[in-house]
Amino acid sequence: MVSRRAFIATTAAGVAGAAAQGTRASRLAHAQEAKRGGTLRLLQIEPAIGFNPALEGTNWPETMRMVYNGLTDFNETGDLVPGLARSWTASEDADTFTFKLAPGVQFHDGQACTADDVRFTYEMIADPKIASPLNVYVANLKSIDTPDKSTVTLRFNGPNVLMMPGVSAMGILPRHLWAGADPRKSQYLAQPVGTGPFKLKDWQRGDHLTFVANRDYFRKGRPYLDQVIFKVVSDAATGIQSFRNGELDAVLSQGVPGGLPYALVRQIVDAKPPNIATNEFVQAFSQILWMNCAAPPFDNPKVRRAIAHSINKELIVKALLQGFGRVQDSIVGNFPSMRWAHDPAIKSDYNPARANQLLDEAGYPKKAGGRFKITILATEGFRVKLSEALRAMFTAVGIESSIQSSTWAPYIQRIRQDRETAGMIWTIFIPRQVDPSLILDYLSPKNAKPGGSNYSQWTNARAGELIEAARATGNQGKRKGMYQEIQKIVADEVPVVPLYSALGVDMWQRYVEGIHSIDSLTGTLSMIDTVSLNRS
Amino acid sequence: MTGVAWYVAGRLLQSAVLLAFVVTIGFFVIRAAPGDPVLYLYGAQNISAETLAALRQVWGLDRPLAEQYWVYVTNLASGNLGYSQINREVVSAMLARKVPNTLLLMAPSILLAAAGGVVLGTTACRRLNTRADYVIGAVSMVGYSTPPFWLAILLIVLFASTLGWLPTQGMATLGASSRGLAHALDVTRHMVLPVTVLTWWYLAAFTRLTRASMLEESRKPYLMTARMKGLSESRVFYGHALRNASRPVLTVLGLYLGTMLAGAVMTEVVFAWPGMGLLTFSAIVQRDYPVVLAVFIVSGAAVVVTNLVIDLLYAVLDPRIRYA
Repeated sequence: MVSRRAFIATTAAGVAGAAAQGTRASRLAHAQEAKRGGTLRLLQIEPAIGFNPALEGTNWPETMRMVYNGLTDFNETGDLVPGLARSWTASEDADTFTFKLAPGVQFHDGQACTADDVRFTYEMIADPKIASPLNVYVANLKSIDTPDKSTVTLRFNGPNVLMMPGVSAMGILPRHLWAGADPRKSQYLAQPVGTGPFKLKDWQRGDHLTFVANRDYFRKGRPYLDQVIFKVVSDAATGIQSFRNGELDAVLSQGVPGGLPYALVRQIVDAKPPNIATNEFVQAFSQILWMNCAAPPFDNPKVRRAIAHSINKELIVKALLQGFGRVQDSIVGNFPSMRWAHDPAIKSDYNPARANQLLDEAGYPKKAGGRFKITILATEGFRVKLSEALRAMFTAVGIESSIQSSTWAPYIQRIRQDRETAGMIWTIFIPRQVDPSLILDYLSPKNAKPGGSNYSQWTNARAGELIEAARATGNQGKRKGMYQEIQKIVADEVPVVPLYSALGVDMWQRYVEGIHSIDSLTGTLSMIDTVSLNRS
Repeated sequence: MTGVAWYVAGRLLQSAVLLAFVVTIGFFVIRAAPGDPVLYLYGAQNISAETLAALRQVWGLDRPLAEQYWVYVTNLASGNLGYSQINREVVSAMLARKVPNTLLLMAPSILLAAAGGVVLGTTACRRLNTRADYVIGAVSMVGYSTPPFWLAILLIVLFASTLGWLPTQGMATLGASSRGLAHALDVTRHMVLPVTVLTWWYLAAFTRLTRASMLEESRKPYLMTARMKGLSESRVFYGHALRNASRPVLTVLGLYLGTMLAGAVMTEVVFAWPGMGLLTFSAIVQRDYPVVLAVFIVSGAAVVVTNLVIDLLYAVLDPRIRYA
């Protein structure tokens, strides 16, 4: 067994002790000044959900975070801090995890939250009949023991490197309300009972959700707010206009329908209105360009390399994202949670001359009507603009392309299920990147079959072995070596082209204090219990 | 039973058959569209093909289409509109919440537009080829060709953002706990802009229709007869011509009232009005099958019923029509 601190230092992005001390001090200072009371009104996308993290996975984490807590939480630098568990230990080879629960935690109905509830929740997530989207985090679960009311031990068949990155998102459900019934039809989907800082008071679907403070919250003295209202607006421009008018207190990137309207947000950020604070931050998801590697012309690595050389990522970030993004070079990006595995030696090379040369070598000479014709798939909105930019870049190296646009449902059906993508290129975000193994699942041969997440259907045996091996060890040093090798193979074979990681822009009225823009599995509102309103 | 009762019973039977067609065609059309709700929700997440398949099984989407249709129809026959897996809610409850909101937006818009349109159209006809006629014609032409969502954004920028007189969106002030009259006033304030947009659009249609219809009537010989009887000009115009000219107007009013349950998608989106239009739009995008079908059924039934009522009203307006 290793201590909690040592565990964090070895498996997650560790923080120096001094930094941790510093943030704790600043949080304390905030706590002393924080004003109590008031209602925070946030822009939100319609959360089409029931309140059960086991069923919904990492969709709408902000909404879940209001009413539920995981065993751990994230702090403002994205590191793990105690949640419902006040401490935890992990075995050397990361196959056994023991959590000690904080004393006196109550659900909103007054019942105590105990080790039984934790076991119940994790069993639901691991249950194949539930088919929880979170089951990837506990895929090899062997047993859960609860030696006493405040201790939970999870044992896995072999190492589980995803347990700690995923644990915060697994909000603990009250066993006494969910046991013995079909969770998909439970009344508590709409009237959730959790341990979280807020209780759901009113849910007008398609309009708003009202949360009121949980005065028996286990973090004494918090939350500071009396109420939080998520206002659902389907049109981003209307929502942002409403915020500028003062009808909303904050617009967080995650709550903007259809993604940030970059031009409008750029206008606000540059204008620096005195009453509005804006904060740009790196989001843990990246825009990836995929192509069907199982069929011509993209079954030829030279063609794929040429595609990579033909794309001017900097121009995309500058012109299309209005600067709200960072060029991504390697498939394992440069996010805080994965910096340890990222290979900085891999660099994008925008080089149309090289692209032309590779295409000539691949046997596709330049000719009237193009070297060959491809289709760029898009969904309405931003992806069409992105596709138009790509189309122009492909034309510059002699590849003819047309854009085919649809809504999301048929788009993802074609790409993920039907695999009717020969000669096609498209873009899909890889979301919620907390560990390299989750990203590389998207390139694993075992996910190449229809329905799997390897959209490119790239099957490289060596990469496949490394992906599995890197997951099967808890030793971060060894994992790092394997991930660096995989990144080199991917950079050479180009089954995908990472384009950029997105920057989020959170905006709030200056009287709102304590919002921390962090992108994590529990969303931007991980620290909602520290937010306060200071209207002078 | 009287003649009218027989007529109504026959029409209702016809309507039931019609709705059965709507359900069947709707069911297979929406299912023929590519994409399914499981992929819609989880398609970009890192979950295995096996988990996706298991979810489809849990949701019953792996069963043969004919079997799913049969399950749906038998449920429907017992009055059960189904359960939305995407929204994790009973469909009838979703509709019950949205229908009143949409009616609150649409009914005043259509009725205001109909009343205003009849007044303007009649005026235009009475002052045929005068300046008033041209102005009304030009205004309604502009109204009819203005995209409602564009007008909506203009009004938001002017009245909400610049002047600050009215709220930008929503149905009520967030966090306001007003009740009774204060709440009604708050909702009314929120209604002003969307109702204006919709009225403006419908108004043009009613004005043009009334004018054309009045014009046609005013050329008919019976008006000459009326004038020869010595009736006053306004009696001739409003008592005879308008009464007969109102039939096509009534038909269109019925059509609009019937379709109003489907909501005004763009207007609801721009003003974040929580109504049926928004629900329909998101249900189609999300492949939320039971919700899409329920919207078909409810709006289909509304069209059928309003048409029936309008047909019965014809008899009141036109003594030559008798349902017996």
